[in-house]
Amino acid sequence: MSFCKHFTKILVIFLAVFLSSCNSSKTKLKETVQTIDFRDSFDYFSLDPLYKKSWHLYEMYPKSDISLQKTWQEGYTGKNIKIAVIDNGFNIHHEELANSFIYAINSDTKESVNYIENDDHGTSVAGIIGARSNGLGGLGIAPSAKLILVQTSLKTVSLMVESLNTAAQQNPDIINCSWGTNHVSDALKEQLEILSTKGRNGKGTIIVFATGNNNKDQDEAFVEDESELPSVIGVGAITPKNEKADFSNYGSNMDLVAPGVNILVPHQNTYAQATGTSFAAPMVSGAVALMLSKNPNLTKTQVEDILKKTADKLTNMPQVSTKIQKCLGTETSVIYKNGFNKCYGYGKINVDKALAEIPK
Amino acid sequence: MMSNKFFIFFIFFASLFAQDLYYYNGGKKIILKSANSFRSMLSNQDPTNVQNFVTQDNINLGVSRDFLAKLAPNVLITDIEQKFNVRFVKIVSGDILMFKATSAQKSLSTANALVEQNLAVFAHPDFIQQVDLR
Repeated sequence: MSFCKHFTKILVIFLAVFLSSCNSSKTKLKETVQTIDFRDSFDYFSLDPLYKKSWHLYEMYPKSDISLQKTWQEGYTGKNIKIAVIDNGFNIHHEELANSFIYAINSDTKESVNYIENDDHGTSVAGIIGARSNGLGGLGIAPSAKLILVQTSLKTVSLMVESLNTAAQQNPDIINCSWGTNHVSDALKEQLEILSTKGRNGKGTIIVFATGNNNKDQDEAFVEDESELPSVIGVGAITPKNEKADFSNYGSNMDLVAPGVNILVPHQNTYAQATGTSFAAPMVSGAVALMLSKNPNLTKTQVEDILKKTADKLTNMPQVSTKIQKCLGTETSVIYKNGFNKCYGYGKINVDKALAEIPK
Repeated sequence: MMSNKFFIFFIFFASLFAQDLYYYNGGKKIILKSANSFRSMLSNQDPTNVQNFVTQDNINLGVSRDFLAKLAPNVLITDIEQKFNVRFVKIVSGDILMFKATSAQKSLSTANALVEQNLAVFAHPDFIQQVDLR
């Protein structure tokens, strides 16, 4: 009998605790709903703790960022824009990627993405483009974009072509390739040409390649690199001081530059600082996603023309220690001819200016 | 008389082992140098079926039995199979086809022959290439 009384008391206490926890859940649910309402506002973005440590997004140094605050404030965040990232590996469980991708496949095996520890270059690249505004870590340039993650070993030309084909089957607006061979084959050229002219129902898929990290004049090579092709946008890297990064390849066919030194990126299960043109290319891919979220009907040519026209013409002398870089040739200062300079291409991307050029 | 016979024998013997040391890229002839050591980047490739070359730009290219081609209009896959004793493997994407030759050497020479005989818009081995993650 006394046991029954005791049991009833415990049951009552349990019910009281249970009901109170239900109420608090309701409160939490309300808070969540409110949070979702704020997702597209700039204030919400700034809640991600690494945002103000990301010099490419936030002006940590004079004019270091790619100027996108106005674009975000106006609500352009890459919503409904699909970006394929072709790379060697992804940690699809990383807190920045877990809710950002709509499709992830290994194009070599046609199986789901197999994360290989220490081999997740793609995690960092994809994070720069599409890291979510979730109050955690950093932010992507297009934090509402939909990512398509295509893993491949890239060991043969046919695997490279197939990876592009696998990406294309998901109808991406943009394809980011933070890799290259320094010797592009005819088959790969053909595939890139077809996508850039016939993709997006004839508007052309925007394909972005990194120029590479050997401080090499690409004009000197007998066969071109992928990043030099007219069908793609080739991107070199700059420092927080708006100088050409000492490693960044350059040449007459480089299109644009973007931040590529000490970039905060998701890496394995945490965050790291990464350096390379690999991390400059996704800045342009993210910028294009913001442009397309304002006007999804822009053609590949229009996107490229706007980016080049609105890019900031950097004039800082590119330096390696105290030596002037060879990209200047015989020039003693940075001079743009027809808007182009061999060290900086058509200049550093400026997202707000690019968006201002686009009629709604 | 004897020296003539020797010369003919030499030419015949040399032609047996003659090998194309070039391929076509964008219509340009790319000179290849045979590389002594081959580091296969493909774990599932039999190294004995792969030849390693170096280009003028010092780029390493591995050549396997597979080659890629976009055939010229009106050229049939079966024509290529019969004429060159190669096997059609698959469509890689769009008009880009993969064929398999009986050896790496044959893969390179057949790809070159397809271009030189105007049977293909382009053709080259399915190169094994070093890709830079940048």
